[in-house]
Amino acid sequence: MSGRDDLVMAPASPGAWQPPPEREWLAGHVIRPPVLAWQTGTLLSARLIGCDETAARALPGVATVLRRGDFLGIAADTAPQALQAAHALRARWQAPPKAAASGLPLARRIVAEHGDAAQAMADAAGRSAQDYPWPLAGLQAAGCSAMAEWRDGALRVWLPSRRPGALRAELAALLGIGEDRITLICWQAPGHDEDPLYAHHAAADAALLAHSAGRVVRVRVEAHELGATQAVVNTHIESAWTRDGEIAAYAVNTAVDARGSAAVMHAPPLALWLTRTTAPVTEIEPQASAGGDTRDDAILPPYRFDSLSVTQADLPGQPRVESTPAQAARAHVFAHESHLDEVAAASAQDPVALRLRHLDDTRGAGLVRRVAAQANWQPRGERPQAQQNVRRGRGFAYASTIEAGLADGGQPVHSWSAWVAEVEVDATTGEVSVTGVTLGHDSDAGEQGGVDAVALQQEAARAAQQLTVDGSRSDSWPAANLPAVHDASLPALATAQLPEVRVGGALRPASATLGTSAAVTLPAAPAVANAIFDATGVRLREPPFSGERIRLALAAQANPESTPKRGAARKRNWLLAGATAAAGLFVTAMPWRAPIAPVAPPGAGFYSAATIERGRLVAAAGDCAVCHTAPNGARNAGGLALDTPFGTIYSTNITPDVETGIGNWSYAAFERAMRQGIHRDGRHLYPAFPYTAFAKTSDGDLQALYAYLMAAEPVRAKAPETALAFPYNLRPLMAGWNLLFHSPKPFEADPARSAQWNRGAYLAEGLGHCSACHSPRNALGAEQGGRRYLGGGEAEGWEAPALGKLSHAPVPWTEQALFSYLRTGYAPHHGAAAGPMAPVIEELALLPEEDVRAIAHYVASFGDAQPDAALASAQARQLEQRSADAARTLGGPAARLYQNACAVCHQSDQGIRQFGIKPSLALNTNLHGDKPDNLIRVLLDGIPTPGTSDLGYMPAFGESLDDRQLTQLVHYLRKRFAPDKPAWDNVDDTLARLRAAPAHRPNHQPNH
Amino acid sequence: MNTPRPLCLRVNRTTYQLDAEVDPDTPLLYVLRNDLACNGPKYGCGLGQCGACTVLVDGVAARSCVIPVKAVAQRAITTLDGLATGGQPDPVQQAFIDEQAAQCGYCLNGMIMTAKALLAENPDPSEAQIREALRFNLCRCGTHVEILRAVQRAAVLLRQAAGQDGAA
Repeated sequence: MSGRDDLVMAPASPGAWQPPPEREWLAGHVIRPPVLAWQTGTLLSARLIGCDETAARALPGVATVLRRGDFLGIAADTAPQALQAAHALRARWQAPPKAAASGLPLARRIVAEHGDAAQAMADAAGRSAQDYPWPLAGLQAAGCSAMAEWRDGALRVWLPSRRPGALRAELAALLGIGEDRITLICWQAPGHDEDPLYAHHAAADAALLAHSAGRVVRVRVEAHELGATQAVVNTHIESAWTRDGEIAAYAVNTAVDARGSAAVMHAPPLALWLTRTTAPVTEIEPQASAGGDTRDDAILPPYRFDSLSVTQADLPGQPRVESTPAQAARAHVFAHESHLDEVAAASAQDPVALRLRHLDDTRGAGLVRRVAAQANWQPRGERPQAQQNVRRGRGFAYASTIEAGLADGGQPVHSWSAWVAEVEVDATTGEVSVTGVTLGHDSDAGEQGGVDAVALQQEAARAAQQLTVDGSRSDSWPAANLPAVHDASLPALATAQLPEVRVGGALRPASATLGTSAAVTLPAAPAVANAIFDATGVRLREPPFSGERIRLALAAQANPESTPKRGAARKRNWLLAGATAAAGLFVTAMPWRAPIAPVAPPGAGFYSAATIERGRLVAAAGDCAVCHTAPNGARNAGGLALDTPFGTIYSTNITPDVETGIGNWSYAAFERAMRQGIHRDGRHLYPAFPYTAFAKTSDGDLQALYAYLMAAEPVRAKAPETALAFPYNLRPLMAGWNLLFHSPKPFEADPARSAQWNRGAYLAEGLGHCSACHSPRNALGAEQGGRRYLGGGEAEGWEAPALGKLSHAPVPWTEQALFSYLRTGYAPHHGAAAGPMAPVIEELALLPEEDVRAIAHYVASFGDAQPDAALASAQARQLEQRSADAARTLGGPAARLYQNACAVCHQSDQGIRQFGIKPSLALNTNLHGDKPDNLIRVLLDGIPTPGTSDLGYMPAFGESLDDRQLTQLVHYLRKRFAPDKPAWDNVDDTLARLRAAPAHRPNHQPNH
Repeated sequence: MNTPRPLCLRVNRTTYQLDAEVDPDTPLLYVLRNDLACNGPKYGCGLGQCGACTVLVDGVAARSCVIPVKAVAQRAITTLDGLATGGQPDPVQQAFIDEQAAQCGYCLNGMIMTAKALLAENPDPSEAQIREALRFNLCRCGTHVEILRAVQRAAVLLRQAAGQDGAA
């Protein structure tokens, strides 16, 4: 606890200091200068020249837009709204003065040296040389969020850091208020995606925005947006051992590159720099008194070696590794203890015995023995053949450090810690769980203070668990997450089981401060890494020990020849299927399928609310209602006409009406329809119903979907019969089609990809059936895969643009842009969802945000390398400028048509703000594509039902403009907004064709 | 089931329940004029081009002839009819009267409503900014200069009114 009574260390006093409920938070977003660099403690950044605050303020949900100096921030009701407003701001920046060259030479200093390392290396029976990189910026998230509330002239700030330093004074200066009006609540962040090193930056941003909005604002900053480069302590260790396994020579060379990040960690909050507030001269609190860090003597191995050399490289003119001593100590302990384990494995020794062999320090050796005994450590013989899916292992690590005496007495404090970690590794997923830890700690600090053993155990458990957390925050695949809304709020409490922690040996305070935990957990990382090696034979020399990396390493172990190649196996299967089919299409196919007996519909209340809710989300992900609802018809009662190259197909009634719907379908019948495309009565369904995709749905999701559909209100509505022309009216032919083109296999995760990617793939390839519209189909109406997957297709007379590498989008799609588009129906650099995509957006709005993010992540993975946001914005500006230039040289009647009919809603630089958005045509994919279809379609029919009403509406011009005018306008738009593309040569034909096939109008009115 | 719920519209601080027969795709303008007798907004081109039908939706200018009524069911709509308070014309209306800024007057609904939206965002616009704001309000009459002056005068009146409120 601090001496200040207004600095609260939550959750010491829970309740009173809890932040306001989540629904009151505004999402803060700060637009960072595109150029941001730290040089010798000073910030070099681009200058803000101008921005369009009015446009941003006008957007829905925007609570405040704050511009002060180079600081530009927004607070809005939701994160997407804030992001949209940030785009609308169109901030313009001026490059900063050139930074001085920073190619400074390395200075190497010798920390310790004795013996003849070269000779020992030369005589050795075995040698090893390895690098152990340790990311300084933190393992999980290089970022941090903080919250601030401005109310009644007082500021309350919640930040996940125990080291606020001079933050109070800095905030006071920033807001021009007295320090007495600021309460800092040092919120112990639950979960681990907060890196307290950046907390003060986030806190200052949140404070500024909260002050401006008079509300609660939450801001998350990422290290990279603060100009922090990934800082790494790289420790290189070479060792040599004799025939009997004694380590004869040990050479350590460590270097740290912390230029950007150390500056960011220790600089006053970025907001102070950007707003050009003069920072108060306040000392940052001495680190050891607040955090209990150890001095970086861990660079010296705590073992006796006959020959030893330790050197450290520094870049002059930047903070040395001492500025992050605790992290550096962890890095070095990790390197030493991992290396000793490697030597033990290479020379076939027990790792504990090897350490004891080189430990002269009797007190340390005593601790090692006690902990090993407590853990019942057994020298391990042969590793048992790994048969089971779960592999277990144990690892040992030891640390001995001397903490600089910043505590009361001023005496350095020597402390010892030893760990035995036990892990379980799931060989399929690579997931690691630390199941147990035995630890011991000893120190020569006084007996005063005592140690809170329980708190320490928790800390140790968390430290161990933290090492194995995957970077991805996606939920477990493929079970759909239940309705619990999980959005970008404070991270939820880690749900995984914390390992059991047993205390072996002594447990003594390292000092009177909080420092014990830092010293105690020093061996955590190497102990876990060594245990993973023991379990799997996979050596991880860099944290975090994520499931993904272990899975890949295991896969490489199992199959050293080839790393898994996506799609290769699938292609072989396809060829095989093709060959079989060609040989005996109608022999092997089963054209007639048995009906499944009708059943009585389940009674009301048969399914739990939770199941039905899950089914509702599954239905949303599957867009059922999009096709199964006629315009103005009852939901899911069918009757929508779908134009296909083979004729018009009418969607069916999927409400639980017994006579006209699926009320008498058993689950077995339902599942067969979803996975194989067979009607309950045995009829083949046409693949306009995307059972080819739905087959991938998990059982749980399918059951929930069935529950949801059966629990709905039955609607009696007979959909029109689908009557295709010969030969497509012969439904049994579909059996052959299925044999050729359909694989009713459930979704299989790709182990080489992240959980988020797989979740996205599951949703996009399965329920979401993106490729049903966005992939081209062959002459028989089957989706094409491989390179043509998502390569653009057709839907209800609209061109479904290509996604991924084949996209015509003038500004490449980013994952973030895809997310914004899928979530809000609009991406500023691309445009708004229309046509058949609009109802998809409506359905996606029902899904949890994480799922939509996963889909965006998956789709983005098909594109080229992601351009960063600044680059995309620059490209967008360039395109806008180019079309503005082109406009000057174009004239004539079409130019006047554009100015009269289009400009009011499409020229964001002209006129006044209008209801809805003003989508830029210069950035619109449809104007850059090979076909004018969508442009003509939208001109003829307008956008009567956008994804959300916030986007605004477009009137239809088909009735008011004649063919000549429309043709002129289409050519004009192409020339003005895509001047680098050739003129379309088929405009007249397309116009005639699309006029003849008007967009869908209600053709089925429910009569009830 | 699934009988469409009757739409509710909040127009000029009054909430109206529409007849169930009203098609949700009906342009807002038709409902305002034909069902709610708000005849301030005018039917000009019917394509959102001329601005004669302008109303404010949540304070933002909107061309009511191209917005379906379903889109604005949960929003606050203000028409010219709702600008006056306590029988007194709004300062923007007063300024148009003072400057005699009408010839035939058909476009004036759009001019006044657009000016209202402009002044809410920019209380002290330059002449160039006024011209820019009104560029998509089409009109064939001879009072463009008067309209410009009216908007400038409205800005002054609004600031005065705000000052009085502040003093009171």
